[in-house]
Amino acid sequence: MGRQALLFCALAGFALAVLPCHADSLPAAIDKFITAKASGTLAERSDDAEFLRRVTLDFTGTIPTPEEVRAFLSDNSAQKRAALIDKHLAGDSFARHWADRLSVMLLERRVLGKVPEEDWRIYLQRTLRGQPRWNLMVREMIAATGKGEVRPAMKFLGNGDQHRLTEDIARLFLGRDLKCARCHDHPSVDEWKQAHYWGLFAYLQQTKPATHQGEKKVYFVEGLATKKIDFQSVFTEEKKETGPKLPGRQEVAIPKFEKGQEYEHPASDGLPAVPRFRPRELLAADLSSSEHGAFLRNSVNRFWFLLMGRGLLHPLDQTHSENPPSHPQLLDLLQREFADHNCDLKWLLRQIALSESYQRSSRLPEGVKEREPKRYRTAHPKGLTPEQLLHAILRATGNDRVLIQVQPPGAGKFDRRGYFSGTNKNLPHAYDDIRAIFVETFGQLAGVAEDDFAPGLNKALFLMNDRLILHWLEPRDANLIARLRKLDSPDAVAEELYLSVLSRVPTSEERSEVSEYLAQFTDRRDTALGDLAWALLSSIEFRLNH
Amino acid sequence: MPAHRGGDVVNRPALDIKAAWMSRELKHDRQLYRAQFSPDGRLVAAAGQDRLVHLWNLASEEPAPKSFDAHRTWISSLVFHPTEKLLFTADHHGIIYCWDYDTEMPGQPRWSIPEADRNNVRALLVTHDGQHLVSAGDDAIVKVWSTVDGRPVTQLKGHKDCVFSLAVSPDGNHLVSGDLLGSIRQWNIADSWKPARELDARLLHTRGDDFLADVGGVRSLAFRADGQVLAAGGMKEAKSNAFCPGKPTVLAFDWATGVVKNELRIMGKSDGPFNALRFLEDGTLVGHTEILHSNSELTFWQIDQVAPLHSLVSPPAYDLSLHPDGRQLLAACYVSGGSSGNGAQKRFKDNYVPNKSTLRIFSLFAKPTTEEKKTG
Amino acid sequence: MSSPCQPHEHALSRRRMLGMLGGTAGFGSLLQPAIAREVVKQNKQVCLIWLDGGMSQYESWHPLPESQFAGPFRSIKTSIPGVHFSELMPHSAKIAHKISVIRSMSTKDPNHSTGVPRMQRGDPVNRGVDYPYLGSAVAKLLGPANPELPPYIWIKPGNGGFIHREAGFLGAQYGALALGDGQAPIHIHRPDAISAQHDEARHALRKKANERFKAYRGAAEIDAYETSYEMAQQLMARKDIFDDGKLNPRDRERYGTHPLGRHILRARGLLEAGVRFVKVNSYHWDTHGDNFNMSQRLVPQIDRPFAALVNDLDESGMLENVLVVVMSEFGRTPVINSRLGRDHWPDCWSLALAGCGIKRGAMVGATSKDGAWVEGTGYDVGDLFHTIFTVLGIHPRRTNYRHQGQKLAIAHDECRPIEEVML
Repeated sequence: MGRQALLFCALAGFALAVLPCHADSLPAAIDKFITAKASGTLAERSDDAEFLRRVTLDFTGTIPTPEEVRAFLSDNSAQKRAALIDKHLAGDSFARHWADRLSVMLLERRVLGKVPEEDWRIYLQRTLRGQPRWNLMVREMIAATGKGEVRPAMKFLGNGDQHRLTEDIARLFLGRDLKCARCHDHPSVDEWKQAHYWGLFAYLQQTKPATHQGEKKVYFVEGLATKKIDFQSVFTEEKKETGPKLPGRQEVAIPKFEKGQEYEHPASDGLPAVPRFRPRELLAADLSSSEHGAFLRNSVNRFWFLLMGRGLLHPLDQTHSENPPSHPQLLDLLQREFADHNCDLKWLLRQIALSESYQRSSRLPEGVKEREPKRYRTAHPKGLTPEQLLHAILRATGNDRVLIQVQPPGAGKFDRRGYFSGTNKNLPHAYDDIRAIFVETFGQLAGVAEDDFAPGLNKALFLMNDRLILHWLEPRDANLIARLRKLDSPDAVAEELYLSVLSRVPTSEERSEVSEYLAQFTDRRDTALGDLAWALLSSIEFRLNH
Repeated sequence: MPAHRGGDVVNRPALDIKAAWMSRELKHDRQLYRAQFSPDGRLVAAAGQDRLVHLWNLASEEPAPKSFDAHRTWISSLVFHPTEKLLFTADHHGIIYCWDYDTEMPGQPRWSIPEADRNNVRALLVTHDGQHLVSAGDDAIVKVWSTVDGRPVTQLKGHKDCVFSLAVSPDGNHLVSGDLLGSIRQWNIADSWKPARELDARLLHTRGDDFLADVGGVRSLAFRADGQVLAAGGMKEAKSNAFCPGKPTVLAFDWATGVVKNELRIMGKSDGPFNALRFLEDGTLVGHTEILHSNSELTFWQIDQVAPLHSLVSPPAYDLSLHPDGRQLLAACYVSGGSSGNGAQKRFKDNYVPNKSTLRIFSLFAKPTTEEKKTG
Repeated sequence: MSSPCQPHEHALSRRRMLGMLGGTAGFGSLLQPAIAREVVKQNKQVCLIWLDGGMSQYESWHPLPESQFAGPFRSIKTSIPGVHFSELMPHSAKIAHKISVIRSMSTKDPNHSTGVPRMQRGDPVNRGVDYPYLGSAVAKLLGPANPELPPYIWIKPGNGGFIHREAGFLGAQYGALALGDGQAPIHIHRPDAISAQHDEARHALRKKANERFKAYRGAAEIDAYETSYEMAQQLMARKDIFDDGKLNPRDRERYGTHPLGRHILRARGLLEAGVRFVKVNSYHWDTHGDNFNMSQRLVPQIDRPFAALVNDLDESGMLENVLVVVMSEFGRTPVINSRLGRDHWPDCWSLALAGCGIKRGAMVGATSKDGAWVEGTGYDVGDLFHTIFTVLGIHPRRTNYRHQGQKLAIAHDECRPIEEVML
């Protein structure tokens, strides 16, 4: 081989070693990009217990049962991690949990509009059970009229507040927080212009709710769009105008129709006539198209964030030159691949979860004191969502039956205010009421992003003193404490306890601690068992998805 | 167009509510809250924010009012003596004045009651026999005074919070007073003003859990001429103690039993209380209410029906008066001065003025054609 | 619909959201630890009483009965010759010599939804970050006065909880512990089934579990989490400060048994216990309708407990170190509307201050004779924040927040302290 050829191979080999090429799977490509910028010692791979707990929380919204932990730890097959991911993706729990995640992401716990929460949830779950294609989901939500089987999709439109919708769509699907660009160009981000705000608003300007007289139901309709929107900066005298326009794209020309030709369907039943030109429908199609880079980019960033605990673009939804992504080429790749795979959400999550970067331990390497989140050298712990926390506590304490509890007929509404103020001494029975209590205590206020782990005094007080928690730690049926009290040896207790609550085996130090604690409180063994469980439930290890 | 004079009963046009029209306006550059026809129908007395008692002579084409100056604050109630040329006015500081209004320019009130209430005298009334002036307000006590010299006669206690309205039954035997909390108390004039019944108008009071204050109250009371019905006006279901919007409501009590026969509604969007109610001679009830920054309505009912007989668009108004001829209605209405709305707006800076009034006189009969005018 | 942003906040050159590079001369520095210690030693505290909706200045601090815009109420003499308050404030009139009133507040925002957060944040220059509310700012800048108690407690009607949002970019731990109806959160009570020793034992287990985890995970989340439990336990240990049974019945009478009276009395207790910043909210002051009947009932509800609080703090010597502020997001229109109400008026309104670093008996700011307009420039809320920080010993120009590498002023750059109210 000539020297040139050798040089070529060396260079090619070098290139291959450094940059992913088409032959790499996406997980491998992810790892290569992450490793290339890690600049420091990488943590080890997560051990099986760590991985099992993390992936179960991320994909099904709860922790594994002690049986599942035992089974996974003793499974020797090389492909068990990939198999577990696939099993979760195919299950109902994935749909239920990701319906929660997407709902909070899209609505930020606001309760607006006429679609009942329950219907919206069922709609999301149904989509997630199949092959959820994110672009089609977003398109369906933005274009929603409330008609047909997909009526619950209109939940996203809330009460039809066009300004709120403009801001939400810009932020979630374009990665631009345009709230401050309504009255003038954005004060701190040069690339975000007032024209972008109004260009987006112009798609939504004709959208409004309308009540069907016969059915007495609310639908979303569009009025006739005939002209551009005027806008003016509060700083300048200059008047501007725009038709519907996505940032960086062609403005949509507003068609002129002959009189009498503007409508496709006449008015009926109190619903107005349907115009031929429907800008919101266009927005839904254009924005969610797989050609639309900004949409794909922000979407993959958000899904990456949900699994990895930190966006490649961080803070979220802040796409501009002063906030470059930590791994721009990786983000480009994810964006391309997501489009190439028809925006298949399950596919994307699977690829990320199969990467070593996802499966890395959150334990710091020897001698390292602090994490540097944007380098992904260790896994980034995430706080449990209020729903995850509730489900995990129920699973840990062996009270899963609560998940299907409903209010007995004739029982009346549960007084949640009274529960928090102390006037209602009853315990809630229905899962929905318990969930509402957890959301109120551990969640954010409506309209506030729930992106961070935020410890709070009231949350600590809740876990310390709430009657529900103590109720679940009383021995009952085959729950955790009932099982533990049947075990004689402290070692057996320690093992069952740690497998149930922390989803791992206890260390020898932890075993001794259990043994000593039980020895100290022989007069009140049941409550001592409860204490041991409580201490783990209240520990940071339980509280985080690490 | 000159108003018909009182006493001209024979030549009165037929009462025709649905043909009612606004025949005259008396404009004023400050808000007036009380306006009444004199018993002989020749004058209109009105008072409010500018602390002056204004008297218009309706005989003149372009009347400019005579104004009496004594009050030091807003005037909150006003009533004519039924037979003598006396006018009684009261204000937010609890002072009552008696005025001789038939002199050239009355300088001083004839007499005054300096502390008729610790704060606001919200209602005044003269008994049919002209002997007693009744007042009530913030201190929740109904007080009876001599119309001759203002000397106290008696005090009627029982209300638990401020009293807004007073009325006397057509037979002169019973006084009723209505308060903030929705209680209407009956006093037996003939029997030394002894307390009789308490009627329940609590619908006209709202105090939501998070309210800082009680809202509403029995703002107006009126007896039907046959004495069989007592109408109580106010608003129900107030939404807050901030904007204080509610549903304007009239409760029509059967006087004999003390039970509500009907709860009357309006046709329009007004959200303030019925400040004034008047019965016409045919038993039709008229009421006027308020609304924020928009048009309100003058509403007419047959008591037996909940829905109004008729309503006329009219600006928010604070008082109603029926002319002695029974064919004209006076409403003390609000007029915007052009400076309404929230601030921080430069456009107000050079021309920021208080709101105004118009006293609208409605003729409750068909508008005469030119033919009729010539011969009438 | 009026715009959410106002022009004045963008009069400065634009700043970048991230990537502010430091190092040029004239940069401020964060509050130095030595200064912080000194300030903490003096234990400056704040009580902010927020009358949400806009109390009418004509029916309270600036009556002007001869104005064409006056309501029907009298004005009464105060303890300062020549100065009058509305007759609806007899108690405050008696202690006018202990407080200061600014009558020339002139702000930009006539809306509640935008105005309330702007006022409570000091309406800083918009830098694309969520500025903290005053309580969170003080919690961060001064820390807790009593390390056993949360630095920022909010007494309000309705629900309690922990309100992160007020902390803005400072981070969740500077949020407000909200006490619904001034009551302790129900979870402050340890269940009967758990004795104190029992509780101690289970907490010891919990702490050891956290320590083991920390050994391999670094301090970040763990410390914040552990702190929340410590604060919770400390609050439980001090739940006597919520015990109504300990209140002097005479005090209850003096402050009034209505919610605002009870809440201000509770605030006094929290200040005495050493809470750094107590905010008390009252809602429904937005009297667009029936303003005069309503003011007659509402204004006494602040008059009585405010005067009682100032007197009590004065008598105990605390007033020297406690700043009391009574304000709304704006005042009310001179023009009276068709519902006998007053609408919003940010152009010329009043607020009251007392205590730490504030003059006694200063009536600041002139208005037109009819009370509608400020004479001269008027004070914006940024000026108020400069004043508040200065009297608390925090230099508003030399102190800055540091957020993601960016230096952020603690109060509006173009504003200044209101010298006329300051000692």
